This record gives sequence, structure tokens and C-alpha cells, in this order.
Amino acid sequence: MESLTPKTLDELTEALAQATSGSRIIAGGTDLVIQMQRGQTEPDLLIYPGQIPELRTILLQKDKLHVGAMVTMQELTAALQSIPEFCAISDAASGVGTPQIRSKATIVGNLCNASPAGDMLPIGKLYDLKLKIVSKDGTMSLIPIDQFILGPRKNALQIGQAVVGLTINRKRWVGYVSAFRKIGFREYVSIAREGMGALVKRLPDGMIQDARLTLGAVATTPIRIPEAEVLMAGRVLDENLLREVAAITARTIHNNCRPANRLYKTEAAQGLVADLFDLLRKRT
Amino acid sequence: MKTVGSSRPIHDAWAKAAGYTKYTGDIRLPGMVYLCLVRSTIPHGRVKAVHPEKALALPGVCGVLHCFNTTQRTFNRYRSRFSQDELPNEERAFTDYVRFVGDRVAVVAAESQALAEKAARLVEVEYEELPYSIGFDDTLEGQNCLPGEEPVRDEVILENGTFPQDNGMIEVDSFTELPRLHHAAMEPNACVADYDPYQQQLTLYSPNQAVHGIRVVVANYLEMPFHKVRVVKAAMGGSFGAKQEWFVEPVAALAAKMLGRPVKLVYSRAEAMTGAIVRGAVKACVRGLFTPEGKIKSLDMDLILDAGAYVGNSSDYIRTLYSKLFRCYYVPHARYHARVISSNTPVAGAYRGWSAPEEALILERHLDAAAHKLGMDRVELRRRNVLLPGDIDLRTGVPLEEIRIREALDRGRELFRWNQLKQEDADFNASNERYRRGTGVGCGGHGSTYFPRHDDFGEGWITMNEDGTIQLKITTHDHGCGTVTMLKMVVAEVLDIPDSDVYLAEGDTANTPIDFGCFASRTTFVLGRTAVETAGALKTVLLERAAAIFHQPMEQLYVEGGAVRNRENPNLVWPYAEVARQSMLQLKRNVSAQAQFNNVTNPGVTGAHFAHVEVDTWTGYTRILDYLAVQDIGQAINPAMCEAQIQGAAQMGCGAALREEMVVQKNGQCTSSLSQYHLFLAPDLPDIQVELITDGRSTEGPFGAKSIGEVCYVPAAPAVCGAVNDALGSQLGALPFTPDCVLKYLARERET
Amino acid sequence: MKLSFCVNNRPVQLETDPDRRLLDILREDLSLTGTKEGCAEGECGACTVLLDGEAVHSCLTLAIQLGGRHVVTIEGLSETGELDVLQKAFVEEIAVQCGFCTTGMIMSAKALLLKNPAPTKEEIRVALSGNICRCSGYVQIVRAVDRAAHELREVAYGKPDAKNTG
Repeated sequence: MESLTPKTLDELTEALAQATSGSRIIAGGTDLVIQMQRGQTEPDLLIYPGQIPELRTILLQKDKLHVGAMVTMQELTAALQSIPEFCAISDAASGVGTPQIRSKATIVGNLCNASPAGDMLPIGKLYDLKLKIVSKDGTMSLIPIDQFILGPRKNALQIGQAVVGLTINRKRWVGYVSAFRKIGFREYVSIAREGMGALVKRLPDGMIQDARLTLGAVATTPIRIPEAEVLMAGRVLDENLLREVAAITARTIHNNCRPANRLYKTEAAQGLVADLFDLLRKRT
Repeated sequence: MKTVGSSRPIHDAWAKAAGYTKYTGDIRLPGMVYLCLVRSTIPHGRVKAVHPEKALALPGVCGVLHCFNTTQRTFNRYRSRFSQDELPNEERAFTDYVRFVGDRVAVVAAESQALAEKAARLVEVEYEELPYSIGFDDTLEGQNCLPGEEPVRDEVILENGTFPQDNGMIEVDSFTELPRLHHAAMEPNACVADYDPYQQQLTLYSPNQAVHGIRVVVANYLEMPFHKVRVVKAAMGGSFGAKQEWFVEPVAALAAKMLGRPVKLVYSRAEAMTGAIVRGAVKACVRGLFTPEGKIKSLDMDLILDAGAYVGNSSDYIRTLYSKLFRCYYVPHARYHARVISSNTPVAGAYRGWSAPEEALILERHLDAAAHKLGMDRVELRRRNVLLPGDIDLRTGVPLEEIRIREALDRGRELFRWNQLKQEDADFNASNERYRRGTGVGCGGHGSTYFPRHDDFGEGWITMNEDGTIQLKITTHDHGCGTVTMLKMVVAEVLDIPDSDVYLAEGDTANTPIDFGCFASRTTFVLGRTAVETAGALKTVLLERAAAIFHQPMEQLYVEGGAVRNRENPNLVWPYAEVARQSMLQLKRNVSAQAQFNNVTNPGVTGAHFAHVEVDTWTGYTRILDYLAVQDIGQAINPAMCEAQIQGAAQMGCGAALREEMVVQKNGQCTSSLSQYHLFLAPDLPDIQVELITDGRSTEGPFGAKSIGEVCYVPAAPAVCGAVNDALGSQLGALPFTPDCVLKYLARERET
Repeated sequence: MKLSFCVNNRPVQLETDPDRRLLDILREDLSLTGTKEGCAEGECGACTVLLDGEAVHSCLTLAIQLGGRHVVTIEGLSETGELDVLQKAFVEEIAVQCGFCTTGMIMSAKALLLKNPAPTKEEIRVALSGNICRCSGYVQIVRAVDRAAHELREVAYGKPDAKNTG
């Protein structure tokens, strides 16, 4: 097996030029190493971009958030947990796996892995996140999340491309509060059976001006709940709204998930939405 | 007592905290090769061919042993003594007839573990697939899972007492279904085998519970005399029964002998889950008859156990399960019908409690159902039926001695604030839409010895060194729960020295006396008493020698503070070192002794656990709010370790009640990853409370001690299950009570 | 590949495969067998070590990720032959049973205390959520970490003060 550890973006593009369909980029490695251990993938070339300084940075500006591809879940949690519009990201990042996983796993790796249960997928969709991609010829491009996640474990990266970071248009979400909540098989350390992200903009009196909701781990790719989003506008986060949103969410889950888990996932929607609302209320 | 009853860390705690302790996986012998098994990927079929060529072509691969180039001889994984002639030899090291996904077909030997694993993936196996069964339904419907063998492998009907003829008895029915469980010992099964062809001497190192049991199996399997097979018990990273049946040792031994090099075989987690042993799936119906006051008059149990692909211990297991009915409650009449079936699934085997936890889950569920039907408090119903001091085991006639289960219930009811909690929960539930709280109680009994099922004895050899320190040889197998420290403490107590002055080697067939293994929670009781006898014999020798050397009347001598003293003259003090040295110099004899203890008792040992839970009816999660374990332990020798072990049992019980389950899918694949086998983690649990009842002392155990390791697991899951049922007002009997199970139940309730 | 990194404050250079696991490098190449393998998939935490001060799974870390970085293993805590405060606390609080989870558990606790010298019991429990112990109910383990935190603060700030009683 060949390996390359580029130290600059230029070296990364040079490395990408050597990549074949069997080559893999390793970030945190928390998913890839398991696959390699099981013999499910045997890369001909392994590229580790962890020594490129730009990929390790979080850039939080007034109008945008940029997160480098090597930023870990733990770093992201620490950076964003006190910013109302980005709390959903820290909620999700702080709930991925175990402390040991979070100190290596990256948000970008989670997206590239494109597991339907990946917690960053509904987060990506929630913020209309864009992935910054570099190609072996050195060109950079931005791809919206919807065009990046193509299906279970399928992303839009071509041979010779790598994700170097992601950006979120912060201006779009200023004034919103956000939250993410998931349900797994146990409360701590569990892969999501369903996860839900919310962005809500409220007037001083608590009336909702605008809301956005996404669901992960239900369909093969994350989905929005437009019916509930429309319903929430003009309302407050009270028990009645909770009941109605939960009902719509349950229906959405029912219609989108596989039959095997349908009963549980549908039934648990009420708890999921209630917990999400609790978080949102606390973040007024 | 100076030592017994005071708490201390176990003997190797320092080395373990430092990372210094060497487990089997850490051993590296010169010239050693690493093994990786090739396992069946299909649930049932014949191996038509094995193609090792691609594996052998990799540089560093030393050989591939498989079903067509190794012996046809067979062994029984469950055998642990020479006299078990009734057990069939049913397994080959590598088989051409695979009976479950995970059956051993071949092994690859290579210069590194990573290479062995890579090469094992390259071994191609051609199968002819056969129809298969993944459990009760398939097998009972006649799905032919093992042609030539009966699908119902064993069936037994047992009865004690006479059917009651009282009027006005109340009939109660219950149903319980228990899934397969994984032990989840953190250290997977492992063995290092070293064969010296020039002396035909085989040495095995493994974490195991019976070095002499392994010797029987391996010597017979490889047709070797016993003295040529040395089995050494290595540091053990937990067992819970997972390391008391032998499948790594025979395979490693065969490989070492054939390859002529030392070998190391360490199971992966997936192998430890599906290729070792599981606790077998069980279904049981109970029909009970009770007086209106809640006294048990009769229990009629119909049970079925899925043995998996090999019978292993299952025939003994169902019989033992019945015997557990008489270790906690007074059951004047019992009738039992049990069957063992086969299926093409992982092999059922030993698991902490060895059928007592299953028996308790079935019976405690039944008692909760009875309390519900009779409108009685669940603790009160149990109080009226528990065995009392002086009662006997109705099945065996063996006295239960100072059994303290009623006291455990009373103490627990008070400490746990049972009655107040019930009221508080009722108030909470009335005013809460989402969460429901409930309390549960579970009782259980176990044994402290093998008696009277097997002959049960221990032997100890002891020597005093020239500096007065002690070397003790008793075949113990410390699972990590501190039995070495326990034995050292017992010896220290008898000789009145610090336990740090005692060295104890663990089981090693070349160096320690015969023993039937650290099973059945017998270590503290039988080996502890053996240590008392052995130390006592040494004390006698010491006194005799001192009398002879220093010309003292024997009857005036006694030991205290590490010295022989004269009662009549306090100025006459001979430190042990002095006695030991003078014995050698003057008498030309070493201070040593030997003793045996033949055990013929088995006092009742019991526990009552209490759980308080909160069920989230919107997500199905159950949170353990509070937990209390009350154990009737007799003398606790090292109380802090007992407490730690009991808390571990509570953790396991919470898991069994709420989360743990090995699922066999339609294709025969079984849960094989801890990412799908959900254990309890630190933030999931409250500070588990432990209360020890120590006045129910045994007559024959060391200083009045009784067992603890298994009995503390028996009441755990029943208490938690009872609490969930209490919270939901349900009568759920199919474990585990996962979020899915809870929400499914609530959805069904809503519709009816 | 040529790998240069630091293990327990000592520079290490070796020739290895880029996909070789840190766990294997430690156990096989450096004979540091205190780090254990319990599952090889990041579930049990027995293989936990510190990587640049953070708790990570050595079973999910490859040689290619290690260049220039600093690894601390359990052996690194007691190099003088004396146990450090955390290790001693584990022993004295009876938090050690079979010992197979112990070293990983201690390394996770170490990572916690490096970042948070005064954790609450709840924070301790969450910080250890990636380490499975099957022998105990985690009670003594949590107590041991709590004790070590107190003792370390005593060393740092003198006698226990009103602010930091955790």
C-alpha cells in the first residue's frame, strides 16, 4: 500500500493526481479503519491530509462559517456550542460515538461516509451546507449538500477529488436558534435511529417567524418536513404545537422509513420532537 | 479477626493499573506464530473443498490446517472431569460438516496477527448448503437442522412433592422468553500453546476456569498422557462463564503440535460473541397454584432451551435449572417438563449463574403475576414464600443452614423505602403524561459448592520460607474478582500474619493440586475452607517443630503476630523465620504441610434486589433511578470487593433486562459486534447501593463465608423487569424490554 | 513508510506500513502491552491512549496519522516505577477487578482531568462513556477519578479549598 501525507494544499492536489478508484482519503479514520480491518476495503493508496494547516481551522465570521475537513467533532462542539444558530451542530457533534471517537472523527468525514445514520447529514441539510472540493488539477468548487449526498454510502466525489472543508452562509441564519436531537438504542453512545435538527427564528414575544426541520436516519438521505415548517410559522413553541408537529413528523417518518423499524421510529417521534422543543425553548 | 472482613485491593490491582499484568494476548514466545480461524459463513452444510493456496502464497504464512488435513477425532467442550463418560465427543477442531455460522473450518498460521487475518480471508471454502433452523420455531416445525440427530435432543420430566388438593387455590399463568446473551468479558477468549516435540510436552496458557478440566479434554483429544499436558491459568480479563468451556485450547494445542512452533490464538470480539458460547435462548410457561394468602402450593413449569449447534452443557443445564427452584422459595410441589432443541445457531453454554438467573426471571415474573392477580404487595408475597433458617433444599435434602432471604427482603424494603416509593410513584404517574415510574423486586438463590451434584473437594500445599513468608498452592482461577486475595487473607488469618506475606500461585497442572475448577461459585467456600485447613496443618507443624527445637511442651505453644509463643512465659517468642530456619538446620526438615477438604454442605445463599425505574413512554427508554442489592453473604472476607462484584452483577442484570440480546437473522448470522450489543455504560447507571447481610454464616465455609459471584446476578434482571412492568402496568415477559418493546406494547395497549 | 513520532516522551522512529494500527505498533513493535484490544471497532475503549492529549482509540488510529504526534500510553503514567495519582486512586478505591478495561479507563480519565481538573460525578461518567467495564457497576471507577481529581487539585492549589470541592 502506498501512502501520502501532504502538508500543503498544493501537495494535496499532487497526491490526488495519483489516486485511483481504489484510493482512499483518511481523516479521523473512525469508520474507514473498521472497514479496512474487516477486509471490506483494501486501498492501493492512502492519503492523510491531517498535516495541512488550512484543513484544521474553523473560521467563524459574521457572514459565514467555514470548517476545515480535518476539524474534529470535539473541536467543533467547543467552538459552536454557545452560538445559538449553530447549537444544532454542536448538539450533533457532541453526540457522535464516544469521547474517543469525537476526538478524531471529523464532520467532513461523517458527510463523506454518507451513512444514512450519520448525524451530520441532517445537519448539513438543515443549514444548506456546501462542501468545498479540490480537484487534482487544483481547481476548487462548492457543492451543495443535496448534490453531494447521493445515497447510502455514496457521495459525489470523483476520483482525484477531496473535500477540504465546508461552508455555511451564516447571514442566512443570524437570529435563529437551533437544536439537534437523536434517538438511538441507548441514551449514550448510540448510532441514530432517527435524528432531527431544527432552526427557528422567533420574535421577542416568542412567535415563530420561520422554521426549518430536517430528519436523519429515516430515509436513505436526510429529508425536510415542509408541512411542519409551514405550520410552525406564526405559532409559539407550546404543547399544542408540539403535538401537531409530532404528528406530522411521525407521519413523515412512517412514510419514509423501512418497514422493519417503522413502528418504533414512528412511535418515538413524539419523544424526539418533545426533546427538540425543550432544547429550543431553553435557547431563547 | 484481624484480616478477614477488612477491605483491600486485589493482589494484582497495582500491576493491572500500571498496565504491567500480562494477559494471554500479551505473551510472546520465541518463534511463535499467530492463528486466525476460518469460520463457516453458512448456517448448515458440507464442506466440499478448502482452497488454501492464495493464503499460503503470502510471504509469512506458515500453514493452513483444515478439516481435510487434520484429525477426525472429536472432543466435548463442556467436559471438566475425567468421570463424565455420558458426555458425547461432538466437535472436531475443524469440521467438514458445518452446523452454524461461525463453525470452525480451518486455521491460518502466520508470522503476525494482521497477516494471519489477511490470509484467513483468502482461504476459499466450497460448501454444499443444507436447510437450517435459526431457533425454536424452525426446529419445532420440523425444520431438519442436523440430519441424523433428533431435533429435540433431550427431554426431562421431574417432580417433587405431591400435587396439592386444597380447596380455593388460585391459578396463575405466566410466560417468559429469554434471548441469547453474550458474556462480554472484556478480554476475548485466548490461548498460547507450546509443544516440545523432543519431550512430547505440551504447555497451554489461557485464561480459564479449570486447568485440570482442560487437561482431560486436550490429553484425550490428542491422545497424550496427562503428565505431558501442562495447563497454566493466565491472568483473566473476566469470564462470567465464557472461559469455562474449551474450544480455544484444543484447537491451539492441535496447531502447536502439528506446526512444531508455539502458537497464539486470540478471538476477535465477533468470534467471542458468535464462535464461543452464548447463554441459550429459553422459553417457559409456568402455571402456579397459590392460597388466597399468597402461599405457593404448586409450580408447574414447561421449558424449552435452544442448545444451538452442539449440545454442550445443555442437558445438564435444564436439570440444574430445575434444582434452582428450591434455593430461595418453599415450593411444596413442583413439576417440570423441559426440552433441549438444536438449531443452526451459536452454541449455548455456561453463563454467570448457570441457569439460576433464567430460573429467577421465570419465577419472579410468575410471582409478580401472582401478586397482581391476588392484589398483594410484591415484597409481601415473596416474604410469605421464602425459605427460612433451618429449612432444607427440598430437592436434595441438603440443609440450607442460616439462609437470610426474608431478612434481605425486610432490610431492602426499609432501606429502599419501598412503600413510600410506591406512593410517590403513584403520585408522579398521576401527574405526568410522558414518564412513568415503577419499582421492582427480585429474589434469587444459588449454591456455594458442587455438593451434592458432584464430589467436591479441594487440596492445598503450603510451605514456609526461610524468612517466615508463605507459599501456598491451591488450584484457583481468579476471574478478576479477587479470589487469590481472598485465599491469602484466609491463610493470613489462620497464621496471624499480614496477607502480604502469603504468595499464591494460580492453577497450573504441573505445579498445583488437582481441582475441578472455579465454577459453581465454589471458590470462596470450598477452596477457602481448603486454605483454612492447609494453613491449620502448617500451624500444627510449626508448633510441633518449635516444641522439638526449643524443647517446649507442645500444649503451651500458640501462634500470634507471626511468631510461636509460650502461653506460660510471654518472654518466649520465636518468630516464624526462626522456626523455619532452625527446623532446617537442626531437624533437617522443611516447614510444610498439605491438607484436603472434602465438602459435604451447600448452605443457602440468596439476595433480594430492588430497582426504581422511569420509563419514557414517548421514546421507550428506561432509566434506572435507584438500585439496591441486599445479599445474604455470611462472612464477607473482602467486603469492598464483594460490593464491587455485586454492583457489576447489577450492571449485567440491567443489561439483561433492558438491552442485551443476540439476534439470529434469517440467514443465520448472529449479532457479532458490540455496536449492536448494547451494554450499560457509566452514565447509564446510578450509584448502585449494596447492603450485606452477614449474620447468616455458613457452618463449614471459611470463617462462615458463603458464595457471592453468581448469586448476586440472579435477582438483578428480575428486579429491573418487575420495575418496568410496574411502571407500565404491564405483564411483559419477553426480554429484553428495549425501547422497541416498550413502544410496541404501548401502541398495542392504545388500540385495545 | 518511515514514521517519526513520540511515545511517552521518547522519540520513536520506525519503518512500518501506513495502515498499521497504533495498537499493533505499541503492543508488537514497542512491547507496550498495557494497551489492550477488546473489540477492534471503537466500542469498548480498552485500547484508549492519549494522542496529543486527547483520548483516542489506538485500534482506529493508523500509522499514517501519527507523524510528528505525541502518544501517551498507560506505561507513560508510571515510568518511574511508581503509580501516578489516577492509577493509585483506581487501586485504592477498589476500581480494579479483571483489569482488562482498567488501562483504557485510566487513559480516558486522564484525558478528562487534563481538560477539566474539577469534573462533577456526572461529567466523569460521561467522559468514561466510551469505556466498557463488565465487572463493576462503575461506582468505584467514578469514585477513583473523583478522588484523583481532588488530590491533583490539592497538589496544584494546596489544601482543598472551598471553590474546588467538586
